Amino acid sequence: MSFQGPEEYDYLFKIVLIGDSGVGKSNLLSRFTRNEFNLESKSTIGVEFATRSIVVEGKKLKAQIWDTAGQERFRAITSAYYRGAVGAMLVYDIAKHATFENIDRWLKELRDHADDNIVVLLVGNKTDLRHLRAVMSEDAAEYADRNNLIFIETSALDSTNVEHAFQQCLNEVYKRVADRHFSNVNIGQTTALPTTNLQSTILEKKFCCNS
Amino acid sequence: MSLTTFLTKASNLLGLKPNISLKAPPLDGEIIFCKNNVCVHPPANLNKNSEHHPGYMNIRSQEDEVLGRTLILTWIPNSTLTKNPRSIENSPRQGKPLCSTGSNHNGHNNNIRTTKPRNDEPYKDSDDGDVFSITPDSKNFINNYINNDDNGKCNDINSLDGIQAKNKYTNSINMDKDINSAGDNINNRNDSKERNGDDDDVKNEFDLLASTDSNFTSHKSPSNVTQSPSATLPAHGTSSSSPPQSPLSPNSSSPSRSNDIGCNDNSFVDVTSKDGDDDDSSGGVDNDLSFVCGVFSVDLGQMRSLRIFYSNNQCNSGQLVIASRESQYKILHFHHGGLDRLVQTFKDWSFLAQASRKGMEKDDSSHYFSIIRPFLPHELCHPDEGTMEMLRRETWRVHMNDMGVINDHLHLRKAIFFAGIEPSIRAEVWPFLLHYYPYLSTHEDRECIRNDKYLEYLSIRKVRLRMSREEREAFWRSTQCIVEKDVIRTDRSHPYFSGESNPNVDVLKNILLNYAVAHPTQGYTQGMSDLLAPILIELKNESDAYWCFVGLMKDTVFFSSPTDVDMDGQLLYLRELLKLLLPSFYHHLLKLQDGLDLLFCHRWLLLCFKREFAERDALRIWEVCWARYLTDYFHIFIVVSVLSIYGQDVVDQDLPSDDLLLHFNSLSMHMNADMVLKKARGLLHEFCQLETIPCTLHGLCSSSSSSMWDNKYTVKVQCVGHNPNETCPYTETSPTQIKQDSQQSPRSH
Repeated sequence: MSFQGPEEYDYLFKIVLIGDSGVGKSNLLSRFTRNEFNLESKSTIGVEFATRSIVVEGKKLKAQIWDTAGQERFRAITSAYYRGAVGAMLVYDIAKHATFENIDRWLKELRDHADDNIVVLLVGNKTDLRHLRAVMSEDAAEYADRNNLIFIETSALDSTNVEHAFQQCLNEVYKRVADRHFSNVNIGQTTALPTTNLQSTILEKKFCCNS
Repeated sequence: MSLTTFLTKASNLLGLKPNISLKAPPLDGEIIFCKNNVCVHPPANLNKNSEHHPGYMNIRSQEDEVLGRTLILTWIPNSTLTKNPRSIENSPRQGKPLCSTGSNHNGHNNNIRTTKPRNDEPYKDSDDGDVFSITPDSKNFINNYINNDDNGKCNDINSLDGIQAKNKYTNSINMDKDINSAGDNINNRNDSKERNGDDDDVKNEFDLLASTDSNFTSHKSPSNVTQSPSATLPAHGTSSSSPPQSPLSPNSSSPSRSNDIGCNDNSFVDVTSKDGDDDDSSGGVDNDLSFVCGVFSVDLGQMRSLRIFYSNNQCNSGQLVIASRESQYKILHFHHGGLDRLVQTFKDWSFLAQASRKGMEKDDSSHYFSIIRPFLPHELCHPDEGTMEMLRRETWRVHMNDMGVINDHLHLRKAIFFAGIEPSIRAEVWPFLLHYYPYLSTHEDRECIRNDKYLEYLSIRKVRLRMSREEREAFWRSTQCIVEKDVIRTDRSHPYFSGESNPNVDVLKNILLNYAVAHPTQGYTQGMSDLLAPILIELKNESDAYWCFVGLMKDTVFFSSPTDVDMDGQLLYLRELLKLLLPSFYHHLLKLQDGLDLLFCHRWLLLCFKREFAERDALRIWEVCWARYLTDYFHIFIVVSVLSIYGQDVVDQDLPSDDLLLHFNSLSMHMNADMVLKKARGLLHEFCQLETIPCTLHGLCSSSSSSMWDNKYTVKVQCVGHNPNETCPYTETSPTQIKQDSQQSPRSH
């Protein structure tokens, strides 16, 4: 059967979710990819991912969004997790200051394991908890500025800005790819990114139809 | 591989002879399979007892000039069918014409019987009564429902609309056997009524539905009349007699879709909900069950794979798992038979497909159809399989002497290993399995142990409560804040932990905190709460649960955390065991750059399959592992077993590692624990039969409580090479030389 598959896309981008345990990474993922939210979601163990495609400037971008436990992970997971990622959403909980204080640690992990040109968003999640806010937006924005991160506040619970956050991340990744910021990647050739399916991470996906 | 090949392969697997009898291909729009009370289970409830959402499923042939023939599978929830207000409102009883157009000819049926899945008795269909045909007209009603209720998210339903336009008058059914059994349905409604054994209400609704449909017909343009003869075309006409394509007449209240069927490129048409994978529209999707349990319609020709998992030995119940190329999954549960017919349908269709698809074998569509049997051939099972009985309260008592000593604990463990423990005596047996009580202890000893351990637990708690302020702050940051986040989301659906401010949640938390205090190098690692919760549920006592948990931790990958030596060790064993027992899968992993990271099974190892199987099955797996019969690493054999049962299509489809992860994540809660365990025991037996094993796996054989090999044998261990700086006790010996384990005599053969 030679239909054009639904898998057709121009780019495949791997985006990783990182941040402390309980800040809402899994719910951001499910909100964005399935428009679901689960108040009683279990802690994430191991690695999971989900995909969703969006269109940016007429190009279909398939986002593969990875999610893992917030706590320290086993080494084998960590390296595989960051491998080939072109975007990272560094999530903290606006109602828990400690999760914001740990951002430094997460940035360091990114520097240690991810591509230098990875797009990083600082995401303050749970804005629905207005009355419990412990991290001021200004502080976070300033921090983001200082560290060259894109800053955004979201609520996976009421959907505020979730779409926008991922869009922004993907837009920025797309921009960098278009400008060939990812040094180890040559458009149209097999990338140096050491991952299998993501070999085409930032490549234009050539789709052939045999019909 | 083409679909044809897959199907052929599937039928080979089934041991069925290809049915070469030339059956004419189905007409465009013909329904070649239908079944009611096919269930969808919302994934959110996987851990509870599954919530059933029965619905009506059918498979329709669809022809396109350019793209050829394909099959469309549609599943409509019963709730949708009953909800449709139109079926009630527009119900003048004029639906009879539908029921009066002929009878069976040559086992074929031109007639249509519109029916409604029996919503009120979802799990009790008889084998005969579950076969229905549905008129294409009833799709009108479905479409109306969709278009009325779907708030403008209609762009996904091209296929339904298009089909409706195409096959409105192609009322043919091509299911000899089924039609025969559904029988002389239309002329003899009383018969079918009896057969269905349903009450009259159902029949009434059934009538209403039919009349609604014909009501639509009467509204339609005159073209209907001219085309109506096609409704009486024999079902088994040749493909050239495909029905005239009716114009997209305004025959339904829905706006016509201009897309034709073949051009429809939506692979997953989840009608009541917008598929998040499509473009960037973000329609407001309900968060309720309609998201997963809404009408589901999909072009099977666009799917990556179709898998069938049988859940019974008759091979007629089980699950149909449909995977899209986007790696989305839909699982349809056949609780009450019908899966065998589905297989037959696919099989028949494959031969039809063969004729019309010549020269298209090499296309890149990755359809797949595999049959997974619920039983293992005897030779693949452990020879002792089925010889043991589950450990029940009476037999448990028998294992102890008057003093309470369990002398023959090997036999006890063997029983648990093969047949499990009756859930009601877990609280008594688990403390032995988890090293809290030694098997050789007496009742009296255990009373002492329990007292001593209780006091010891109190002193641990005291240490935690008496921390200095700074210590407490550091502890809170490093441990407590994560524990607190985790306990409130651990097994909360279980009655023991459910509800607001449940004191048991605090007990769970305290045990974990005390454990972290007493084991500062390990502290708390996410996943521990998942392991502790079932123990606390069974033992219902804080101190006892704590000590059993301590015992359990010694056997898990958490033990050496955070150095993750244990995790690496487990993965190493797994890789080596795969190489040995499942080389095809191993070589597939080897091809992938990061396949040997084995990301897909980290959770299996961390939680000992707790999230892969329903609670009942998961606990059984735990007990079987804890029995430590022949090996301390039975969980590794279980991993290999899962991969060997459910991983074959990974190899056949050459899935990359991210798809592999999706594949196995999607199987979670849908695997057959019985078979997995049986197969794992078989694999262990196979391993024990090996004459030589690589030195890398020698650790697998050392069991803390029993030797893997009967004492009269020892196994040859062969050095398979190490890093230059590592030493191997087996390197000195030549590879073929025999290493004698504990006994002197080499293994005979």
